[in-house]
Amino acid sequence: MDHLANILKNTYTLSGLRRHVRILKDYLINKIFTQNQQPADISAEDGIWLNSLGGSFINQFNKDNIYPIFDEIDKSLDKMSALNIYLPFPQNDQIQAQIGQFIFKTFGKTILFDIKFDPNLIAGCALSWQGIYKDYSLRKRIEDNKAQIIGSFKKYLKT
Amino acid sequence: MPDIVQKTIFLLLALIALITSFLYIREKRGQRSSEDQLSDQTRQKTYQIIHQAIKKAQSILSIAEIEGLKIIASSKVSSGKLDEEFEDKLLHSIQSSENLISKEVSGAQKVLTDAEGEFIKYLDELKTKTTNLEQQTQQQAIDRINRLFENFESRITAFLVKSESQTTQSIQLELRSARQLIETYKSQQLTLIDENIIAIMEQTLASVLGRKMSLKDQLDLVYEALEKAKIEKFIV
Repeated sequence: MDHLANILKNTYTLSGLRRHVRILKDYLINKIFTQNQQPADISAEDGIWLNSLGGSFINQFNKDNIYPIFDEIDKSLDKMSALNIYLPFPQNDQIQAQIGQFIFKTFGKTILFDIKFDPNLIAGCALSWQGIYKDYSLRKRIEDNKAQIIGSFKKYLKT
Repeated sequence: MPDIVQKTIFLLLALIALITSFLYIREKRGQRSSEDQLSDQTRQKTYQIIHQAIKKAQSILSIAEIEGLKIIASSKVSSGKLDEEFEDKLLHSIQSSENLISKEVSGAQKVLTDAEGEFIKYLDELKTKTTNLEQQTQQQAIDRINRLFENFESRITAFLVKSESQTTQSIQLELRSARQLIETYKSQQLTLIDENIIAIMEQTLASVLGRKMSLKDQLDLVYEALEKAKIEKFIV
């Protein structure tokens, strides 16, 4: 779990986590078994993340423990649940990072999440956690205050 | 008098014819054998009788002729007299009838004159009456026409008033139904708007906020939602 905790640094989404695990595994296998220090074709951000892990973390892995460690990581990954966040706007890595950092700050721990696009929410977001969906969006607020809004319109029409 | 003579002659001739026929018949019947002598005697007697009858007839004829001549002569004389008398009487009667006729004619003329006068008077009266009648008829016709026009005018007026009120009523009904239709449509549309205003608003906001809201504002709302989830202990 320490290894996972290290990997979870700067990793926010479950898909991102799986990608980082894959990248790390590929890099370590190349390094350990082929003596190739260069990582495989990865993006700049992934390269930065890889470098952020630090040499001490990378050197923990050897040809004897690499596979057991990653098997353990995979098992942990399977058990992990992610928070589904429904956003009304398209997201990118930067937005993911900002949300991830906020979650970490708010909840005191890393909670993996997945972002989905739902333009009907108008603004705000909806959350789905362990199969339960809750709408915190502007759409829900409008629906909750429907009668009040209609009343306001009618007042306006009468005047 | 000539009639008597003629009658006498006719009687004699008839007698002679009778006797002759009798003899003829006897001659015919004279073919019987047992009574030839008797018949001869009878014949002889008959011949004698006939002879006597012829003689008497001749004498009678002569007498009758004489008498007839006498009568003719006397009648000629009397007829002359009669003619004179007749002529006198005829003249007299002609005169008297002329007088009578002239009297009658003068009387008739007078009557005719009177009748003519009466007729002229009658014609004048008739003319006056006709003129009066014509004037009366004309006046009656004028009055009738005036009444007709007045009646027509009053009926037309009544009809127009009725038509106007009916038209106005129907127009008002149409207007009322149109207004009701408009009100119904308005209320239906308002109901539709009430039902869909939220959806309209959501769509408007979705299309407007997407362009107007900044990323920071969007993320702020997301952070707000996450904080709310933490408070509600939605994410444990």
